[in-house]
Amino acid sequence: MRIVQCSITHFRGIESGTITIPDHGVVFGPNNVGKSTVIEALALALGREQMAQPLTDWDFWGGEPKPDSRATIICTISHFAQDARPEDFPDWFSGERSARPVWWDETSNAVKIDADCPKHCILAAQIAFCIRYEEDSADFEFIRYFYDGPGDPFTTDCRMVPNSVLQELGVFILPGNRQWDKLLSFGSSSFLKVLKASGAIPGSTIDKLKMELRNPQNKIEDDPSIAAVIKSAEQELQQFLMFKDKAEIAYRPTMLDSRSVMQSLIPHVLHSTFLLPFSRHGAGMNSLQAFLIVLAFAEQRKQKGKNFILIAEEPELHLHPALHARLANRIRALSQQSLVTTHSPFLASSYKPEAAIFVRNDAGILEASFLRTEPVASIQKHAIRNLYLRSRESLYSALMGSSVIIPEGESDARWLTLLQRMVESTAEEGVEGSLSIIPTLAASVVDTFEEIYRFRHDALPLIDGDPAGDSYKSRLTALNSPPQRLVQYANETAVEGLGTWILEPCLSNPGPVLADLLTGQPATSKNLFKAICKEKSNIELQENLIWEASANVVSLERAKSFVDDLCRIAAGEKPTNKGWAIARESRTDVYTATHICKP
Amino acid sequence: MNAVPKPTVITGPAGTGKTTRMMELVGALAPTALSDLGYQSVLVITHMHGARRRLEGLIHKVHPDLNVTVTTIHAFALGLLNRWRLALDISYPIMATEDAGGLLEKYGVVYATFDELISKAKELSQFSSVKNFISSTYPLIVIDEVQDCSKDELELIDALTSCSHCVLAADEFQDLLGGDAGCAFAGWLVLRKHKESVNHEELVLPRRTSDIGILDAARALRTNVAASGRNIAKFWAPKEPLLAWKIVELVLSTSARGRTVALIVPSLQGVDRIVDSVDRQLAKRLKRSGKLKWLRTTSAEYEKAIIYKELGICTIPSSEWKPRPESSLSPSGLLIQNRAIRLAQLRGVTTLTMEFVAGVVQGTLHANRAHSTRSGRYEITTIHGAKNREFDYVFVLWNYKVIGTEEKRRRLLYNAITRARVSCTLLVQRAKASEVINDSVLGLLGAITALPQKKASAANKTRKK
Repeated sequence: MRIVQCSITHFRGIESGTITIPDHGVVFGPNNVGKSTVIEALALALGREQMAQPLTDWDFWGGEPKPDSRATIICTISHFAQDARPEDFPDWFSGERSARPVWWDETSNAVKIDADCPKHCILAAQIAFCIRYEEDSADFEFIRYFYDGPGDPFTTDCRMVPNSVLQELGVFILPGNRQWDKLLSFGSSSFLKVLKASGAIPGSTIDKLKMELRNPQNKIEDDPSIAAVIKSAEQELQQFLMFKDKAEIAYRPTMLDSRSVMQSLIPHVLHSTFLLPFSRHGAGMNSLQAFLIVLAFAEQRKQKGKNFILIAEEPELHLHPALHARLANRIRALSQQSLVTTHSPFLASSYKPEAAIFVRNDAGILEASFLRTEPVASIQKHAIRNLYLRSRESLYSALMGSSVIIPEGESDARWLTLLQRMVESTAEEGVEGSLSIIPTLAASVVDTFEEIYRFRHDALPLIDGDPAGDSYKSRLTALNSPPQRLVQYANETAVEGLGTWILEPCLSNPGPVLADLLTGQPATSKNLFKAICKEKSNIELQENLIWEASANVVSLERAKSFVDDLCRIAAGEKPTNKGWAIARESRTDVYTATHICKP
Repeated sequence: MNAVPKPTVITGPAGTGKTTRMMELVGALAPTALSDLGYQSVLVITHMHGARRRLEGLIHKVHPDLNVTVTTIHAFALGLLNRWRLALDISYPIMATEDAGGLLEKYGVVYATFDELISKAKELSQFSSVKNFISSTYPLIVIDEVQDCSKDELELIDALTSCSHCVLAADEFQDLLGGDAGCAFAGWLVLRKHKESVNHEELVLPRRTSDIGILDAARALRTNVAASGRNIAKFWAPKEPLLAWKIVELVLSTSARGRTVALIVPSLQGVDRIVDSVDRQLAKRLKRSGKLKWLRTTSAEYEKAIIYKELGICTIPSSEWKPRPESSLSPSGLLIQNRAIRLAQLRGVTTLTMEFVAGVVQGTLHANRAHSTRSGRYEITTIHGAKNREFDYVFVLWNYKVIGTEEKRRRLLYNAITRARVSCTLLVQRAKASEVINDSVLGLLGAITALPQKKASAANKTRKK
């Protein structure tokens, strides 16, 4: 059984939106787009646990719920079994309180509501979760029911979903904010749940432990240093209590009932020579705990042939990036279905584009689309295929960024990256935003833009000022969905002009690398330009030059200004440098960097 | 789906034990029909809520451990429709209404008349998913009073017979609602018997009563052949007090101690006069306040009319409705008014219209009927309301308001008389003797005694004759 689709209406920051959920998928997108809202929605609708946080006004779209406001989440469940028919699953579809069978069309990712199964569709059920606000008591009411159609479940009849159905579905949520050191302790309800489900509560050992604790070998009250004080206290006690028997005071490590004994047990890790409690370990160690439980639980369910669906927020927290992919693999191996949200390009890139969902939120309308719907091997254009194969991590990383730049080719991308790094590591105040650079292949900026536009309407192409660049510009502005904005270097100028502009201030006092580059020639901009053009593919040289230039205040200032201006332009704001000329070509605003020109 | 057994049909005159036989069959068939998994139940379908409640009580008494769902045919259709409404291109939940339906969506719900409910449910019953649902949820279906089914309802029931094992109980002669086309059930049964696709049990032995008088009278009305002997006690008078005296006589007699007494009337109009007269006469005789507690099963129409008047609901559906001052309302009126205001708030309805509030009234009254269980020693009920019921002593008030074809009047009288277990008394109210003698239906029962004036009370003297 898997969740195939989730529709969200008027819940938190989502006015409406539908997300199709694959077998094992990753959800990513820029910040604040609704990724964790999707997770919360699934958790509310299908999670069995009591809600961790009480409902508030903010769970309603607009944050000001009225008596008739409703936040609704509808989940479609399918893949019951091969050739499943409703009669085969009576606890879902038979009986008065059951769900009405609907049908899932895998090719169009749509729910069909015919009474009988249409061709090529499979059996599905829909569970809805609805919240309303009660003005009089400032309280919230929610209901989980089998969905028959639109309508208010609070004022019309509906059939509630029994707990047994949810248990069968086996959805396990791992929320973003996790309490680390509590997870493997007996005080944790999740841990106890896993133990109970596996019949693994160590009852007899707890009993033995209780006995030991009742009568320990070393009794504090017998220690000679404290004995006198205890004795006088006992005498006082005797006077007040009027017991017939003597009242003796005893100290024990914990209250001696089973529950207290269990809760007093603190998990430690036994290293080869010493014992260190979990809470004293680093966050990374603790975050692994969360997964130890989850994976153990998953293994349990698998062995019993039960369903297990894992929904996790940022499982990569506190984990070394090298482990992210491994984590994703383990999750996929042990669950029937898994859905994770992430900020880690490493984790995301371990998922194929057909399983990666990019999420956008346009004033409340949530759009969730798979990166690709057909296998990557079938992509015709090499440049695009490259994005998803070789450069997948950079692509995913760029898609998650705030300002997305599409340069003309690899050398442009390289220079920009160097500049960015230069600014980030040396500037004192740092830059307002940061650039996410798409790894464009040579001569494919238009194709690349078209592909990136599917996810980021605000992607900013960066074009050379040469004739080739002009032709790209005309092609871009002529597209059905052209870029909102576009950046171009001055006339006849390519990215080498940018390099020259940055390094120019160093000419007055060149460092060794720069001097070496200009060997035998006067230190003029023109010569610098020619030298850079000659060493177009010398990556190491470019790095060294930039690194050396970071010591120069003016160079740094120019680099900062350029990166900053690109960020501003990408966000639709005005750049600060006076050298920018803005013109409108068709539906695109073209920003020309007249200050960066071939000397 | 396994092969569904042929439906079993139980027919027989009133009082021959159809309901009892139905219970027997349920007891016999349910253990094999229902699996151990708790989601299945026996479905019992009736027409009216009164019958529904009583049948439910009976089943719980006779088969306390059985999973049973007792519902009316309209509630069943509504449930089915709401579950599958998207397949019929209906979005919002459906609500039954006595006014204009048309499956129009208003105020967040879709309004449908009872007939529309049945018609749409029929459409649904063609789909195999729906059939599978019915047969796996209700492997055994029992339907009572099938003679009251309209053509559409019968087609729906026919569809049910192909899903589950059905047990139908009917008496054609008790069809009070049938139009000129006659009872749809009769034709259906003939067809089925011809195709040998039904198990037909005909009950003949009278079980409700052993009183020869009642049996003779019933037979006379049923066969349209005049009764030979005295049969039941019959009296006529132009005015109520004389007729009321007969009721008083019984109430005062020792034989009626602890027994149920029913006053069955064709319509509730004018019944108050006879009840008041009974009370006055009792008071005189017992020298104390002799008011009897009569349990009145008020008609739905009557109840609704009262509330409509209280809440000021007029006939223009879309005009705006304003709440009434609370002090002017009865408890139920106030409850319904508050409910309407609250519902509007929850549904985001800003202007309350007449039709919206009317819907709330109907829904509340309907729900009350569905759930209240009241019975008393002394009951006043219409003939419709008395269907499928029995009482120890029955007084049938046959007043000049009874209209209809001769066949219809025979059936009405038959239905009324056959409610009695111990004895039945017919009280005819006519202005002149000629009206009594010329009545062909009454004629079947033989001579009717004219009630003399009372010597004891001068006030009861009739002015004429």
